[in-house]
Amino acid sequence: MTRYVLIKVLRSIFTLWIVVSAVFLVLRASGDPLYSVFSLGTPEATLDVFRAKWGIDKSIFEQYVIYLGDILRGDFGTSFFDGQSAWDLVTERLPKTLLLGGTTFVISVIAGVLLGTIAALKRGTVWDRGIMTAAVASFSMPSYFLALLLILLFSLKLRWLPTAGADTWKHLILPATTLGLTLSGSIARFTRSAMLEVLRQSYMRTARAKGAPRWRQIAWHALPNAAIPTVTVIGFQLGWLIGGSVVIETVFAWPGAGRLFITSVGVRDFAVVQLFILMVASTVILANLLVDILYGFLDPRISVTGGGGK
Amino acid sequence: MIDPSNTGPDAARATPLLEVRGLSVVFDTPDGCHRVVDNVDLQVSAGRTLGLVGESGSGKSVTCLAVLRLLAVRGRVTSGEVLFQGRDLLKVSEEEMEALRGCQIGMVFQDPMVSLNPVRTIGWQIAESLHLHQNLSKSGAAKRTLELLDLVGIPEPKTRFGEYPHQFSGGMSQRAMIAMAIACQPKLLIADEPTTALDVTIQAQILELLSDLKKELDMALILITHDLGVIAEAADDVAVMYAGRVVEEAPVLDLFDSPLHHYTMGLLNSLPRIDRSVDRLSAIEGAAPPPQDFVEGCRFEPRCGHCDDACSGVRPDFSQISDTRRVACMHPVAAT
Amino acid sequence: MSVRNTEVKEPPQAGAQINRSWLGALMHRWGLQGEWLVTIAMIYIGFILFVAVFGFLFQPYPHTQLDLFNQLQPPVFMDGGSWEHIFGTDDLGRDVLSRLIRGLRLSVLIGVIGTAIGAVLGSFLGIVAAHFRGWVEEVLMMLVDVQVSLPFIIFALAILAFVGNSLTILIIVVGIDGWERYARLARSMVLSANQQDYVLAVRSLGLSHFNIYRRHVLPNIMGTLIVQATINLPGVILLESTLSFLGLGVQPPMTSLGQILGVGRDYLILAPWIAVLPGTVIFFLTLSIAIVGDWLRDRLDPTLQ
Repeated sequence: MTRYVLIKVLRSIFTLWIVVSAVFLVLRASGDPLYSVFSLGTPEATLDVFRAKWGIDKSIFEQYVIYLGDILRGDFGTSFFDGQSAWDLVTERLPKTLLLGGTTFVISVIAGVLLGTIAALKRGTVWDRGIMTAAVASFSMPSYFLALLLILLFSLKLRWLPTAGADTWKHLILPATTLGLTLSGSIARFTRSAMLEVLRQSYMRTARAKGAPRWRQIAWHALPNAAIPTVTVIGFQLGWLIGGSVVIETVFAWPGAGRLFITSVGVRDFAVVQLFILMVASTVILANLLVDILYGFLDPRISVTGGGGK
Repeated sequence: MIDPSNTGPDAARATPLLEVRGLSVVFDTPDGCHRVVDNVDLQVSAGRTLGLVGESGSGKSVTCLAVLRLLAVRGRVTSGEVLFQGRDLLKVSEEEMEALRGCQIGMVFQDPMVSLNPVRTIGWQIAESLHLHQNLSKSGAAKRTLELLDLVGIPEPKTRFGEYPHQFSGGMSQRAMIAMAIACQPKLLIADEPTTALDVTIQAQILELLSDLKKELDMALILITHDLGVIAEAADDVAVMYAGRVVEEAPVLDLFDSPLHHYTMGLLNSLPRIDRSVDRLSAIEGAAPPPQDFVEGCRFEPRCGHCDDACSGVRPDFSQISDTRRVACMHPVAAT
Repeated sequence: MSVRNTEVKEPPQAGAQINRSWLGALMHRWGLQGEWLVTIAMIYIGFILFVAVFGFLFQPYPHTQLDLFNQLQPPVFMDGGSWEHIFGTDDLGRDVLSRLIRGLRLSVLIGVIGTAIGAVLGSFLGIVAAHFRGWVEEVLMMLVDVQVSLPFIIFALAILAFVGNSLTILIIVVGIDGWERYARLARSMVLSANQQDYVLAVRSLGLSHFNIYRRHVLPNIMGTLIVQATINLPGVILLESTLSFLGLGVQPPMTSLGQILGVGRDYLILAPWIAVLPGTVIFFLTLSIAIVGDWLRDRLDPTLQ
């Protein structure tokens, strides 16, 4: 078990390093950021001062070393625009993002697993077809378009819910619904196929032959087994959720980190974009690491074979 | 419930514990319905072992699943009765059935490695049977589980209790399966190819365990197998199945001594024997047909060397040869 | 006798025999009997492709032509609409139908080329990994892990904002999304194909690696890769539309469905049709492709998940 976890941890660190380097390459190789901050007529001498101040007058390799060192020290630079530290800017908005993401995640997982299980148990019936068609529809729907439709209906026509902002719980409903519909759709699909796979295993027949009632077969025998592949997939969905929330925060003017990212991207605000990507990457990598470890708990076969996860 | 008159071998057919009458099972597939079990009669009494022998696809497993009403959605019973202690199991409610399964009737499956739930400990899975059917406290169930593990010959029950199926060998898994099936001391145990997935050396041990348990608990045992060796070793009575039908029934010695059906004959001829010297073993020509190729009349006819026009067209009736022997053949072996 | 429940009970086939119109006959021929949803999806995809390719022939106005006297005019089926602009006009008085036709063309183009890029790149890397094994495989598979675990749209936005934005870059960025799925698939399929007797046989005949892959391995894994591409296509279309919606994708004067929607977002109250029409087109397009993709997968390659 320790070996298994150790390998996973090393892999995660490696992944993070690749991300950090990729971010550096993309952001630094893209030309002088100063031109997006200053107007064209700014004298070179002034620009040089700022170049020196922000460390972009050095060679790309030097910059990379400094950059890595800074990150390791927890120094993520300052925003080009208001001079605030990027860390403060992002973390300030993080609670709102976590609120939206967390709510969506919990509700989607519950709804997705429930619907997926129902579809699997009622395979081939109207229930199954209905749920699966809805699931396909939910992730074929562009999330921003769904957001606009919901705004159109519930905010503009019916005037039940606010269109933008994050002041009350009412503000949470529309963005969470938009994100959640897509997420629960794909979770339902995965749960269904995992469940179908489990239901045709011999041990399910053993459970029936034992005289276990239907609900017990499902809850005690099928679900723990179906959870194993489903948890992995749900872990991967977290990345999708963050990507989706960037869009949804923008549409609903939700004052979270995702919206900050979009505005920062629009004005090419280096430090903020960089920090946001790093945070997202570490969150997702950490979540996947947790999933891997959780996997070891869910599947007793892993803890003994050690490293047999793949 | 055990009738003392049942214990002697001659009284075996007096009041059977389980009697299957005219059972037919149909499978619905996209290209039509297939009758995979056709009008099957079986009976077994307490203390006896009925060997159900046939090639794969002959419907022996399906028959037993139908007895426990464990058929998959596609399979359904179209006619017949399954009388267990005089009660027709096909007519009782699902709740009553649940109360019977694992309690009055236990079942052991072919491949123990995949028949045990991989994420539950062995102890949990055995204790579950007790939990479902007996009013035991948690510690009481655990204690009984340890006894059961010991009873089926699993060493170090205390350690094994908390282990998972993947930590068990094939033979040990099958012992655990058996422990689970007999946990509530069932009247009837159905073992579906219990030794097929196991090593030869382990097979004998498992069969011995089953016979011992049968005696100890005075159960009736239905042993499904394709292996005549297993039948010879463990069965009292034998029903030979071919293509969804029972073709011959006999006490085990009579069957091996003088098979009546040409199919049985063919099966026996394909076995090496020490009491007869044969130069080479003969196999039955052709292969057992899949359900869509079942013919009218005697289903063995296409592969039988002794058939004539009378064999095709009508299903051969059983001829009662003696009290304990029946055969469904127009031209039984003894007569030719 | 295994008692598995793998097939759902089919309805009796009698009806299919009686009522066989030309559509029914066609459906039967393509193995589509009873699959009405798939048929409708295919018809819709066919229609969209037709519009994307030949739509410019029916385009009533140039998509950039302003009509400042007819700003935000509703479509013909709403109050105040006229046949002059069937789907109404946008904030600058541009004809929405014309813009839809043009936008559709670009969206489909980017979607298809992007998918092709991802498929070729991913499959190639997968084959490389399976061929060389060792550290090459290790590194490539780690890159796959990186790609899987990150929300690609965030990277795409950063790349487009910092590296610059042109149609070429957009298509490449959109194409990169999803390469890892092909890489995984191709790798595992080549690994198992390399174990097959026929590959060992042709190898012993002295065929070069390249020829073995081109003539023997690739044709065998092609079907699965194409199914995977069909399944990925809606995602690629959605990614492009999202980027364009956020203003970082297709730039004016070019237009795509997502970009029209992005404009329409600001006029949701005054002129909801600007957003609703392209959104509906995208939704039904991605839905149709997803339905057909699922159907293809179930039919040709149930092992894919």
